[in-house]
Amino acid sequence: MQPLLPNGHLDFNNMKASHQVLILDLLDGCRQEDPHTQELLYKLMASKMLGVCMRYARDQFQAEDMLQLGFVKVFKKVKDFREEGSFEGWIRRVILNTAIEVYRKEQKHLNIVDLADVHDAPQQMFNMDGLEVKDLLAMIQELSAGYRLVFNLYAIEGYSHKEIAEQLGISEGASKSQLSRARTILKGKLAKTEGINYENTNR
Amino acid sequence: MKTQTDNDFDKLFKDRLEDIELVPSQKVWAKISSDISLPVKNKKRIPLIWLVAASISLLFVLSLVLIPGKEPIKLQASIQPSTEYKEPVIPVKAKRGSVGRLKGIVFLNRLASMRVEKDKRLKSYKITGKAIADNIKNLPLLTEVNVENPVVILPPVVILKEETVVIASIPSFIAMHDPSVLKEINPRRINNEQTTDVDYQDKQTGIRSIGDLVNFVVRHVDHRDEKIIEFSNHDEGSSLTGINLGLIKIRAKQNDIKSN
Repeated sequence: MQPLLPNGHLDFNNMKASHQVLILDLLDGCRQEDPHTQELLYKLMASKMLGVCMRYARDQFQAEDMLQLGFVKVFKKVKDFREEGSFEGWIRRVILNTAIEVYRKEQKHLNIVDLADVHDAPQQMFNMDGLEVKDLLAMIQELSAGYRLVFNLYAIEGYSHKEIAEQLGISEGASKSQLSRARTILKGKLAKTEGINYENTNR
Repeated sequence: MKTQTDNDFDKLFKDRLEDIELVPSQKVWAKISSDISLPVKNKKRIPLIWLVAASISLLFVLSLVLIPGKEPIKLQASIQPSTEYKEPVIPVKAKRGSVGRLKGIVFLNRLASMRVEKDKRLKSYKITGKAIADNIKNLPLLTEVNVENPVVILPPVVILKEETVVIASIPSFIAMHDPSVLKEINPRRINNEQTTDVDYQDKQTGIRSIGDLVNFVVRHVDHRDEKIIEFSNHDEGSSLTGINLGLIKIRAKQNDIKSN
């Protein structure tokens, strides 16, 4: 049962609390291409999915473009959703595939770095408590597109190198090297930021 | 100095960035909404079965017209008049002077003298024809002959058993019953123009759908009253309303189409 306000309108705040149930309820409406249901689903999922897109994009403009393309796909392909997993998980995969597609269109070839050329950065303990989410996000967005994509897929989404290699059409070695480079660059950025923070606190 | 494994390092990012949320700008939904509503606009299409029917009939007609060395099949009307032409088509070469005009008057007078009881339309033609004949009589004769061999072709006249008179085609000048227009008519320039109701309809309505296109082509090939295939226009587009394959005839009622 959808939460309703006394005036009969949908209670958006309450809906957010039980949005998992609601999203499944919205599935039927989206399958029937009902514009109001489509808008409701978008409003419920947009912020979360834009968060995903932000990690894969270089800035918010590109992230919003990904979001737009992704949701158009969601509404067009919703009839194909076979309810084998959660609807939200399916939407997330569609958005993620869109991010990969955008990357492929922008960059025909990954900047493949040979595994032999990769030198791991010295292991160091980082304390990220003082770092804000937006700083970490900015660091990821500053990575080159290939590094950013592989780091996201492996470190945050939890894909294996084999799956990444299949998804991107590259070798497992190339996937590993991309990840290693990405980590090295991020560690460098973190060390720099921590140094600045350390200096600021000791002044 | 403590060390941190790669997995720990990755986890630091994962924990903080996995579930971030950001409110998108409002223009994003506007774009999505317009993108997903575009195909819906195109959704109202002609049903496939009608397209197939129209394509088959069009191919059939084109094959009749375009295949070389074969005479196009001339379809005969299903209801034959019981009597023969009283006077068949007579191309008359108008002689210099007023003969062309006289022939026209002869036709109009003959039309006026016909017995017409049932056909109201023909009755109105009779009255109009008489008026035209009178007007032509009053026109001054031309002495100069600028056009060689002006020709007036009289339409074939058929009298059926029930004494209803059918005229195969009505000369265009009959429509010009306005006396002010008739004054400007030079009878020598009246040639064998034949304007049928069908041509008139084409000019009036134009081709607005596939149905109209098929009707137009079929009309010029099949001269029967009930065409081999016929489409009708209505509010929701055009639809097939009649098929006449000789032995098999299917015809939808006009009211049915309107209500659909």
